[in-house]
Amino acid sequence: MNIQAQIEFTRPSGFSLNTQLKIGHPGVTAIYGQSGAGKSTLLRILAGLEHGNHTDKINITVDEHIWQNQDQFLLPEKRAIGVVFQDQHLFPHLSVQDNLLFALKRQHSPSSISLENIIAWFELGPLLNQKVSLLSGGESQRAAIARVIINAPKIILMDEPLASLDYPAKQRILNCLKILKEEFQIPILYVSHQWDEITQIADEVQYIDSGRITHKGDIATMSTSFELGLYNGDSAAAVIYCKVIRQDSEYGLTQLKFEQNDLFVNQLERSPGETVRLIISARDTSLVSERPEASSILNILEATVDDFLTEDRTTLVRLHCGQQNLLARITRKSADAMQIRKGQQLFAQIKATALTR
Amino acid sequence: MKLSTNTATQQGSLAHMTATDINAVLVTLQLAGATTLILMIIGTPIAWWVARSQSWLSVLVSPLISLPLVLPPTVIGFYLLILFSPDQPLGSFWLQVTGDTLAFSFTGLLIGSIIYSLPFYIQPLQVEFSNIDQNLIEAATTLGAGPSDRFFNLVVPLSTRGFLIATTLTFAHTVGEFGIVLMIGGNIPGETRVLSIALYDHVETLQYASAHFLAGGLMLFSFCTLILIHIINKGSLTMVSAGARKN
Repeated sequence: MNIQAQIEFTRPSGFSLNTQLKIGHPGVTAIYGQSGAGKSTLLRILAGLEHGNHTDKINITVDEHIWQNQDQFLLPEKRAIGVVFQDQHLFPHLSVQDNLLFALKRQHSPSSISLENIIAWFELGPLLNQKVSLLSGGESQRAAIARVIINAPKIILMDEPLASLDYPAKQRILNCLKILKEEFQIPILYVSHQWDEITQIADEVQYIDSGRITHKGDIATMSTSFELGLYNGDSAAAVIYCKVIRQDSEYGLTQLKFEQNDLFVNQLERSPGETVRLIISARDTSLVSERPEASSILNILEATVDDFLTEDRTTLVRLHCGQQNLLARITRKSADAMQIRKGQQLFAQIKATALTR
Repeated sequence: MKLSTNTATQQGSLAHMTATDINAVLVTLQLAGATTLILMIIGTPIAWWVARSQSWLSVLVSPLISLPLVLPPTVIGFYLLILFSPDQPLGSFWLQVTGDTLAFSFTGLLIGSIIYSLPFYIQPLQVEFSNIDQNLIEAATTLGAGPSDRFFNLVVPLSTRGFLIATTLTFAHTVGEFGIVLMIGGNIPGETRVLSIALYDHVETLQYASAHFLAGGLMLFSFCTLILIHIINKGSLTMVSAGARKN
């Protein structure tokens, strides 16, 4: 699926969206930006829920089909899209099961997706006969996402799907989404202002600011870019890709290959040869100038300082490790003591337990 | 109880009255039923449009529909009577097509009832329709449901309460109609003689026993209708509180 859109759209309130969007990626493309940047409007325009008027210029082409231009407008119900909203919008007069059946009866394309599998994946079995009004926020959102997948859309648009949920509910759904991503080849456009969600599932990130997409890139590059201020706070983390080498069941670890280095992480249920994606938080990475003789830290990687950013009390260092990047947040005092400079060779230490998938 | 002590002649006249009264009941039920049915067909789209339209036209249409609520029925009756007269386009058209006048006919009465009961059908539905969460409609749209699919499988089930109240009110209100009937229907037994007119007749001719019978019946009917509406509303209240409990 290849989506191309040029949008010039102004609301009566004065807010305007003036941007181009290109998605040629089968995985998860995140639209990231602060509240009010135009993320949801962009998504609503793509879905056809926002029509625009004669002063707006909206051109949307998907593969060879025109969804919208000056003369044509493909109705949203014909676009074969799935939309997951922040508030789940389950139909209150139907049970959970009937909500799913509503979507099944109106599938956008013939699909081999089995209702039973979806119900199992999203753990909806015990909820099937429940009234929608009695579900918790997390349960509702799981049902809403399941409803969209059963509908067999060609692309799924998600508008801050986890924004109103507490941490455990959010994590549970993120895990569902990771399964979804691996099991189905449905492209997902994921709108969020939560960087930690994006590091967990996005493959590509497009950054939107004041109604315009200003930066885009793959998650590994974007997660370690200093340009966008994504490093702020505790959420600074690098996304890296590794290959599974072997399972070390004696110690409950999995051995991975990250560029030229061995990396040990808590056991992952993956077979050798598979590629996995890891999130390494900047505050879980420490730096040493000499390779330590003996250390309780399993993962010691050779790295080169690419750039660094000095803040109030800490320094954020971006490291090259082969073709990929890492981030380390160290105290400013340590940075001065180590005389951190661009091109410096050193070693990054990462605890095995600090690596999250 | 008192009736049994009446004289034989009075009993005879009562029996006679009951036969025409039954006729009046039938005409009334026919009129109320047909009015309700037709309003369901033409009133529902109007209610939907008024509830959902952002057009300036709805600002005019909405008060127009409500006019019968404030106007004396005789005013509407008067204008309809003029409209129905054979020297007016509508009246003459009707006369040419059916060979009959609209005024003082069941059809004329039906048209009057529809106009007069319009606000009673539209307003409860309009309120119900405008309370439907637009987001649910958008969700159904993105799931591939077209306009009529959305209306019949989402809007209608979500507005059950509105439909129940609208039809009950319309039916009951048509049963209780008097002024308009007097103006355009007259008093033709089996055709335009409805209950309220029959009651009026009884009082005019001092047949109080029959009048009591009809008036009491109408009282009981109206009371039961209002109880029904109350129950429908209450049922929806428990539904709303169940929905609120979620948050």
